[in-house]
Amino acid sequence: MKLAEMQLNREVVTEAEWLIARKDLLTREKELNRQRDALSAARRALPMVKIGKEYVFAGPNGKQTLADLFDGRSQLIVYHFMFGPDWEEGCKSCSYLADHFDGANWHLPQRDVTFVAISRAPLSKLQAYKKRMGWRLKWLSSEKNDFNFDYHVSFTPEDEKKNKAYYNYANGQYINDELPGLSVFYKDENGDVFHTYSTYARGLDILVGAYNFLDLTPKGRDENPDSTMEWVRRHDEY
Amino acid sequence: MKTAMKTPPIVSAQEWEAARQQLLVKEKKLTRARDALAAERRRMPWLAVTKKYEFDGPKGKASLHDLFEGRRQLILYRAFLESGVKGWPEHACVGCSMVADQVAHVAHLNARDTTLAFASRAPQKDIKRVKARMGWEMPWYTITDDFDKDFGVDEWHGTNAFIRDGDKVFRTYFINTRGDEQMGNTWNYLDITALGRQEEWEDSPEGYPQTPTYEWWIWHDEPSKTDEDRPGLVQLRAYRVYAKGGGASKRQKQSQKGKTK
Repeated sequence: MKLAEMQLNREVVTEAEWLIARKDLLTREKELNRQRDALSAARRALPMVKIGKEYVFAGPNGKQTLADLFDGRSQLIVYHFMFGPDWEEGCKSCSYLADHFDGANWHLPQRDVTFVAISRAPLSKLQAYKKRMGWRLKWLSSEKNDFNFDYHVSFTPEDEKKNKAYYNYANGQYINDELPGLSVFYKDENGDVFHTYSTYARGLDILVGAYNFLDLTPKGRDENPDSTMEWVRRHDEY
Repeated sequence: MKTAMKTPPIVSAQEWEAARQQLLVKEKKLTRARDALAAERRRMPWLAVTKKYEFDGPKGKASLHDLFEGRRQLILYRAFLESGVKGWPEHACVGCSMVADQVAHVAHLNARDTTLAFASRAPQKDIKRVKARMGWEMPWYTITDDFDKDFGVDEWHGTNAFIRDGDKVFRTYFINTRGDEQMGNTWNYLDITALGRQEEWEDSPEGYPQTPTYEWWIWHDEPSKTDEDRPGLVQLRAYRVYAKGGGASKRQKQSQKGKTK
């Protein structure tokens, strides 16, 4: 959009007038913060499911079970990174999200959280792509287990044939063989592992710092509503 | 982990799914509310910036206009890095450092015609050293005049947004304190975990681990400490002084004075 067109919507005012408008918005921003805090409290009150199945992943330290991935901590966040077994590179939108992981991951261990990414592509592909993108994150392959299917982020040729998929807690049409998501697990003193939370689609939005910055700007995210991440590229491809 | 932690019920996958569906309805409502708020931001009036400001940058003197690097929008975060701030001269303030850690590759913001920059009072040589030590890559300028005072960031960290029309610059937005929190996804990650941020103010089930807000913060290149002079605790004290004065009693710098090593 041309700036001339944009200005039609915007008044240029005095500092005193601007402050009145800004404080009015601030009241609503604070309200939203309180709502967000209440929602996080509701997440902590969500029941948990004990995991009976054993998943074995291939990672930089060899074979590791889901319980091993906690790495001595009691909480585990898994980002379900879209990278199918026959894909040549990781999904570009997941790469955009992943550009935000390493920074947070300096601090998450301080709060008893281990963070990993899991994809179905073989480990060698994950490692090569990680190197290309310059990431530190620990990335494991679920190529040999049902983990991605059990957490509703990978879909079978059967799903595709029937044009049906269960994603983001709803039955809908088949979209792709891989979709994005994030799951959270808890390990108790006895070593039992529980599933506490999973989120998909726009539930992941709060994890994208660049979006939060853009939400403060006059132009906003400036996205096509029918194809929101169209503008996103891998950071070495802009 | 304390044994007294009152964990939520452990249920079957079907029951969990039902509870999760209910929460999802509320989450979607909040996402829509957040979108509506961002839409209001895009309609906020603009304030013309007529005063001339001069920053020091890696390539010498720079005006506010220069900070845009030719892009249409500028987001400027005021970080506390200067003599007298806890951690000086090795570090920026622990909270500002945490914000800096969470800035993703700037290529994405640049792709939206937006430049993200940081500004502090420290000279360029100190900024350069701290950036290299911490592996930060965003542009970072030195404030040399009243810019911090004029834009509400002389006392505490804060984020200003600007837009440019040719040579003209407009202030469109300002946010600070908890408003800056949304730029850091560490908090958002913690908000989806079973234990949350594990901070005292949170409404959590009984017996959950909780420590004072800020206290656990670290510099990512230093191990976590438990002494009285640990950076998170110093930050917490500084915030209390700031909040007590209605947000304007003492500078963050002064509040963070004390043993810096």
